[in-house]
Amino acid sequence: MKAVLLQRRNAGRLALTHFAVRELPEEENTLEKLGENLALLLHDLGGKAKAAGIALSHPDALVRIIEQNTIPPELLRDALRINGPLLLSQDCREWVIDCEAIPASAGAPAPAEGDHVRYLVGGLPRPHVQQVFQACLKNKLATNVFQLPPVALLNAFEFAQEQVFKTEAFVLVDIGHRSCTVIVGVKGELILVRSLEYGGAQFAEHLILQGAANFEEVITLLEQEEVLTVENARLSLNELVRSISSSIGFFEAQREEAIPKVFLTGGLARLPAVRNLLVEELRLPCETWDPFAECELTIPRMRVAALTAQLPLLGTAYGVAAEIIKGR
Amino acid sequence: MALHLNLYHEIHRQAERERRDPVKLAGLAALLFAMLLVFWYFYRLSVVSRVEAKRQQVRSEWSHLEPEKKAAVENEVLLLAQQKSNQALFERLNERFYWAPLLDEIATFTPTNIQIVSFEGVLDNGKEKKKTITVLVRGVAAGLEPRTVAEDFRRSLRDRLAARYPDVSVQFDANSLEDGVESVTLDGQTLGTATFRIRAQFKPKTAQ
Repeated sequence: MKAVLLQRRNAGRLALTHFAVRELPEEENTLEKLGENLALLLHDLGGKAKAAGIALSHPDALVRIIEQNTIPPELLRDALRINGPLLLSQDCREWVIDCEAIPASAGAPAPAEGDHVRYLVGGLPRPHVQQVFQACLKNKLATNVFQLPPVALLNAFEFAQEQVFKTEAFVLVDIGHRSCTVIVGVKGELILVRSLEYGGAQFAEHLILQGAANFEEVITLLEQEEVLTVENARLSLNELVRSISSSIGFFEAQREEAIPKVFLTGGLARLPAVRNLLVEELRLPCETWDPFAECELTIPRMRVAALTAQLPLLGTAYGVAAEIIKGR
Repeated sequence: MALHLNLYHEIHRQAERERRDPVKLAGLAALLFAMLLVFWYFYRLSVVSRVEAKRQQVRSEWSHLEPEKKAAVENEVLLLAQQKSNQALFERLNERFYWAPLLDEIATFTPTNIQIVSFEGVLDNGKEKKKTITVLVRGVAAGLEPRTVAEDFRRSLRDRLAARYPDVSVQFDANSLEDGVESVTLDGQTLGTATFRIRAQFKPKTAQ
């Protein structure tokens, strides 16, 4: 679990005043225990906020891009909920669905009347949303935004790397604990979002099964570039590499534009060995990015090192917070 | 431009609907109205209590004061009669005429060749502004020309009185100035005489 506290400064700049990262044991990482964990996280965070938002990664979460005639989002939400099987290929009557038109890339002609518009659709089963809301209420956290992590990450990238976001094609890869998200965009337009049931947990389990004692030893062996461990890691990352490659291939076939770079976030992105493996496999530069590149840092000096180490984990949290302050 | 999805939109919409629920709003309005009524009731209660306490206090004071008031009303008639007689006495005292200064004045300036035979003073107590003093002086004047001496005395008396009193009129009574048949010796000289009767009228001073 990650949290950041931002403050608006002069000229629309933001300042990071507090942050917290809390690792949860596997059995604690459930919606039922969210309230307790949230209380601990808020305690670690400190500070007070006027507004709050939350992003929750969940295997049931739905993120799709659909094409429809221009229609107000309120009507499209109801249409998606009622006609889920037709429009989203799944029954969504008991889901909370939200959608928004995806802005066209810079320089593209404005859509004419009657043209199809691309919409980003996100959703989560209603009981999950209620559970999250109740957990926040229980902790007296007045959240008014519940975002999906891929959208929050894309927004964070837009706020932090505005130049790249608006002028280049890019691939964002977020390697989470149990899932990965691959986002492809170009010149401000979201092209593709793909989720994968693979994350840091599966990576660690695979290498431990191959003989490592624990995850700390895996990290040590990777840092020492132990051949067998590196090859096992390459094998484990194969599925993720395939997914990124196919996404890049899909984009390049559609737009006839090359992707210059892959931007990484997430726990595994902190490991140089994993980044090197991805560079080798994808034959593209892969690097982490600083979500707080455009922010002032007003945290205590002794926490700067901790922040630097945790930077790849805080993109989603920054995206939600910055969206509340800047976007709404 | 950031993408804004919010899975709380249903919760927000429901909260908004609940916030604008007419039954809830009417209930709140009724509650507010009832609270206002209760507040008004207690406010009026306190006002009425204060008035009632004041009434009790005034009634208690009245029960003490009423006998005094009755006695005062009875006393008032007596005091008014006293005041009236006091006023009358006061006025009488203030408006009386002092004869002594007048007699002193006349005695002082009467020359030796004038002999006053009689002096009669009358105070006519009419209305306040018509109050008049009438003085009747009878005498004998002696001199080479005794009638002139009498006339000088009359003028002198008029001037002296005019200096002290207003509206002074000093005249000889008709046919009262006559040559006397007798002669007198004054300072070794034998002089003729004339009798006279002078009537002087004047008003007394308002404040003596």
